[in-house]
Amino acid sequence: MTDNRSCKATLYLESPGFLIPARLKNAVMKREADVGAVTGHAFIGLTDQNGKETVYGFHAATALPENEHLSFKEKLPLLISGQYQGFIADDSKEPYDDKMVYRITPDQYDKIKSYVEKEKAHPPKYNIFSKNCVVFAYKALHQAGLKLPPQPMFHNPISAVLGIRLYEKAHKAKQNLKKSAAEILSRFSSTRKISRDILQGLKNKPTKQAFGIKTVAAAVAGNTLSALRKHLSR
Amino acid sequence: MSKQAELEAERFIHRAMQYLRSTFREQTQDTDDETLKNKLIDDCQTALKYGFDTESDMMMIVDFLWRLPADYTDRSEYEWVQDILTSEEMDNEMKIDALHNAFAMVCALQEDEQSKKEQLNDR
Repeated sequence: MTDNRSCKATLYLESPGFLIPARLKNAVMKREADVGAVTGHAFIGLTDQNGKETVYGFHAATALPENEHLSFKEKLPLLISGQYQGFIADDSKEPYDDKMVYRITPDQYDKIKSYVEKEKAHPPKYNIFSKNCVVFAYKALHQAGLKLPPQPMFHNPISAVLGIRLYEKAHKAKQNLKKSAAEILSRFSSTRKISRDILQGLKNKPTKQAFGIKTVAAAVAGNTLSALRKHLSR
Repeated sequence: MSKQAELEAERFIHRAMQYLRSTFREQTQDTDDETLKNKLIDDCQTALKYGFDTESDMMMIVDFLWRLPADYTDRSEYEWVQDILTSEEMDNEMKIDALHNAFAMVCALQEDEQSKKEQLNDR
């Protein structure tokens, strides 16, 4: 079987404004003073076997030209509400700072394309926490089973809006969560599933004190000790 | 329901209780085993409701729920929890990461507000 990776999928990322030093802000490209420039943006490119690239990005309707008059302060509550319509746009003119290119097979290309076109026809409502540009881009590339870069702490654009002022505090909180997550992964199976019925059954059962080898060993040791005492007292 | 599966679930609950007691010492110190077990099972059922069905995924959600205030479902500032858990756009791994990111932001904001208040009181 030949590995025909003749297509490409590209993840593009525009850095949030606060990550770029002020003196360099317009050094590489002109950055508009819009929401995207402040929060950052993620979008994807799909290149077919003939080398033609189509670029897609997910936006809130606040980004539409008819909403240009809204101030940033007016836009923010709309972005958080989850009630504001989203749309998939041609982002081929969007600026970007970083990109990651994946060589993919036509089959993977079709999977991503089909997802993106479906989303384009029926775009979901935008929510800055759960249905934002990053989620769209990642979900699209997930269709092809691509190994994506781990999401940095501030993968939600809103965090960028809140600014570097909170970075250290949020970073500390995230580190604690990461520590707990690592502990959970080391102590609990990532494949074994527990059924709802069994759990419900356990709720009605009295709690057992001994399950593990240590407790069993302790119980055996306790029994031996009491047998020995009994023997000596004879 | 097989005996093996039931035993595995019992062991899981036992290990999960140990985890909660060691991670949330203050919150669990006055809770007896029976109450803790039942609360844990309720939280596991919540995790299952949102499609987190492996031991580790379930515990990620249980651990997360223990960090939230008890009345989080009634508080508008925690609406994002429901938004993320019910999102059809994210897989489980992305949801857990999104929950952690949002929670980290909330903690940072609360800490920031607290230190601002303290600064004002000092003046």
